[in-house]
Amino acid sequence: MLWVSTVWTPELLTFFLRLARHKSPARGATLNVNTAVLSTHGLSKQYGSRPAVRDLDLEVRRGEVFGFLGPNGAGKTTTIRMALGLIRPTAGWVEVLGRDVQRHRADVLPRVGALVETPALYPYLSGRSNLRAFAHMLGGVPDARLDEVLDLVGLADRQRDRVRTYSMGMKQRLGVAVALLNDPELLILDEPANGLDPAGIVEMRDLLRQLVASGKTVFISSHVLAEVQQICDRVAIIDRGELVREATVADLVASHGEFVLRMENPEPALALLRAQPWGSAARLDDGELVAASPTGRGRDLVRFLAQSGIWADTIDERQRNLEEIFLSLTAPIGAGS
Amino acid sequence: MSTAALPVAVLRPARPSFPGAVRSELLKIGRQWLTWWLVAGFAAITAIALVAIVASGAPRDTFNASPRTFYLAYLSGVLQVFTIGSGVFLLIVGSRLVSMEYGNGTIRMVLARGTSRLGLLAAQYTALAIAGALLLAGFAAVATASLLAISTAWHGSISPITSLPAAAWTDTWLNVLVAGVSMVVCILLGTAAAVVGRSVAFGVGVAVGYFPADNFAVIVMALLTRITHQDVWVNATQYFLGPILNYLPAALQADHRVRAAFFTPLVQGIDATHCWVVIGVYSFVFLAAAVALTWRRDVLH
Repeated sequence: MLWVSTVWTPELLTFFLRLARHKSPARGATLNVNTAVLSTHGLSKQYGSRPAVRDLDLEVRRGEVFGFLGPNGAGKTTTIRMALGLIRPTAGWVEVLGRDVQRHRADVLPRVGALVETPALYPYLSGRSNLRAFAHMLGGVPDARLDEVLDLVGLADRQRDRVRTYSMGMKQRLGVAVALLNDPELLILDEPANGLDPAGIVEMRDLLRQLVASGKTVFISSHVLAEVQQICDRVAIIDRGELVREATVADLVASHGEFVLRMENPEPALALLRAQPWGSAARLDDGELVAASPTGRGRDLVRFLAQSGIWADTIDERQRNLEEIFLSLTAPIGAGS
Repeated sequence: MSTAALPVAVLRPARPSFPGAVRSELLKIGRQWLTWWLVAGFAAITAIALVAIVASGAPRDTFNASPRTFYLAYLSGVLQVFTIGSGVFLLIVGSRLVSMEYGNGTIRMVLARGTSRLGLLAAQYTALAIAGALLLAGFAAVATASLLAISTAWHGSISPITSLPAAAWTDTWLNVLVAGVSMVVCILLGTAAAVVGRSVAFGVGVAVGYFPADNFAVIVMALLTRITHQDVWVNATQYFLGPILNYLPAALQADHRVRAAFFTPLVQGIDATHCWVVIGVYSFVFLAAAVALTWRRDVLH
C-alpha cells in the first residue's frame, strides 16, 4: 500500500480512503457507529496545585477517527495516560469499550493498541524480538501475526536488526506494530509524528491511512493539523486542561456563510458591502474579497454586486482550515486563563 | 475491520498472561550481552576459586585423613564463591531488568496493554528466581563434578565422597538453603533499588554498592566504638544485612567451625534465629517498598 502515495496525490488518496471507510457495505453492516468506544466523564488530574486536566468530557464513537488537539502542555498526554490506566485521575473516570479502565484494565486494555509519545522499545533486541516480548505479555500471538504486522509497517526487511540501529521513523513504525499485535479494536496514538523528519512524517501518514482504511477506531493526538483535518471525522480541542471545542471536522471548517470573491479592483466592492447592515464584516484577504451574502447564498451576493456594476471573476465558499480554528480557540503561551 | 488475516479469537486473548509475562522477562534477560558476560565472568571466577581451594594448605592430606573435614571446607569455599558471584549477577541483572523498563519507557507500553503493575513485578521476580535457580543448578553441577574429579585423582575412586556420613549431606542442604536465601535477598534488593530510583544508573548503583557499603560499615562501627567508647556502634552491626548473611552459614552449622567470608557482626553469640529475623525484616522492607511504589506511583516515563 505504501507505493500508492507515490503515484496518487495525497488528496485523491484521502478521498478514496474516506470513501472506503464510509461507504463499504460490509463495514456498515457490522458497525454500530453510535457506540462509545472511549469516553471520559468529569476527568480531572491535578499535580500538586497545578491542574493538568479539568473536568473533561469526551466521547469517541466506534469506527470514527477522532483527533485530539491542543497546544503543548494542554493535557493531551495526561488524558491519554489516564485512558490507558498509567496514571490515576484526581476526579472522574475513563470508560474504554464500555468499562471503567481503572477497575477493568486487564479486560479492556488488551483490546486497545497504544503508542504514547516517542516509541518505547528495547534497544538491544531486534525488531522481531521486541514484538515477541510484547506478544508474550499479551498471552501469546502467533508468529504469523508478527510477520503480518512487520509487513504492514514495512519493517519485514529490517526485523532481525537491533532496534538501536533503527531511525526514528522506523522506531515509530515498530511502535505502531506493537500496538497492532493483537488486532485491537481501538488505537490510541499520541503524537505519532513526534520527532520524525519530513520523510518519517510521510511514512507515518501513509501508515495511518492504511489503518484508517482498515476500519480501526482511532484516537489520535497530533500537531500536524493538516493531517488531522484530512483523516479525522471529529476533533476535540483542549487548552490548559479544558475542553474548548468538540465538533466534526466538517462543522469546524464550514464556511459559516462567507464567500471569497476575486476581481480586478475589489476596493469599491468592499466599500459598498461594508455599508450594508449584513456586510460589515467584509474584508480583504490577500487581495481577495471576503464577505457574507445578504441571503447566505453566493449567487445573491454576486447579483447584489452586479446591480451596482461590480462583476466578480470567481466566487467560492470560504472554508477555514483547522490550523486557523485551532489558533483562534487556543490562547498563546503566556496568556492568562 | 481488521488488519489481520488470522482469526480475531486467536489474536485477542481475554487477559494478559502471567506465564507469558515471565517468558517475556526471561527473553529480555537472555538476549542481553551483559547477562552472558556476567555468566562468563562468574564461570571464570569459579574455575579460579576451585583451583585455589584445591591448592591452598595441604588439602590432599586433609582429604586422605578426613574426607568429611575436606568436604566441609570445600563446601564452605564454594558457597562463598557462589553467594558472591550469584549476588553480583542477580543484583546487576535484576536492577537493570526493572529499571530499564522505566529508562526506556517500555513500562508504559507494557502496562498500556493491560498487564497489571504488580503482575509485571511478580513476573520480574519469577524470571529472576528462574535465572538464579539455573545459575545454582549449573554451579552445583560444576562444583560436584570438580569434587568427584578431586576424589578420583587423589583416591582413585569417588567412594570417600559417597560414604560421607548423613550429617555431611545435611550440611550440604543447609549451604544450598543459604545460597537460596542469599539469592532471594539480592533479587529483592536489586528490584527495590530499581523501583525506588526508576533509572538504570540509580538502580544498579545502589544495588551493587549496598553490600560493599554495609560490610565496610562494620569497620566504621569498630572505629566509632574505639573513639566514643560506646558499644552501641558494635551492637548495631548485628542488624547489618551483609554481615548477617555472611554469618548465617556459621550460625546454621554451629557444631563445627565454618569460615565466614568478609565481615561478620562484631557481637558474639548471635544465633540462627536472630539471623533469620534480620534477613526477614530486610527482605520484607525491600519487598514492601517495591510493591507499594510500583502499585501507587503514576507512570510518567
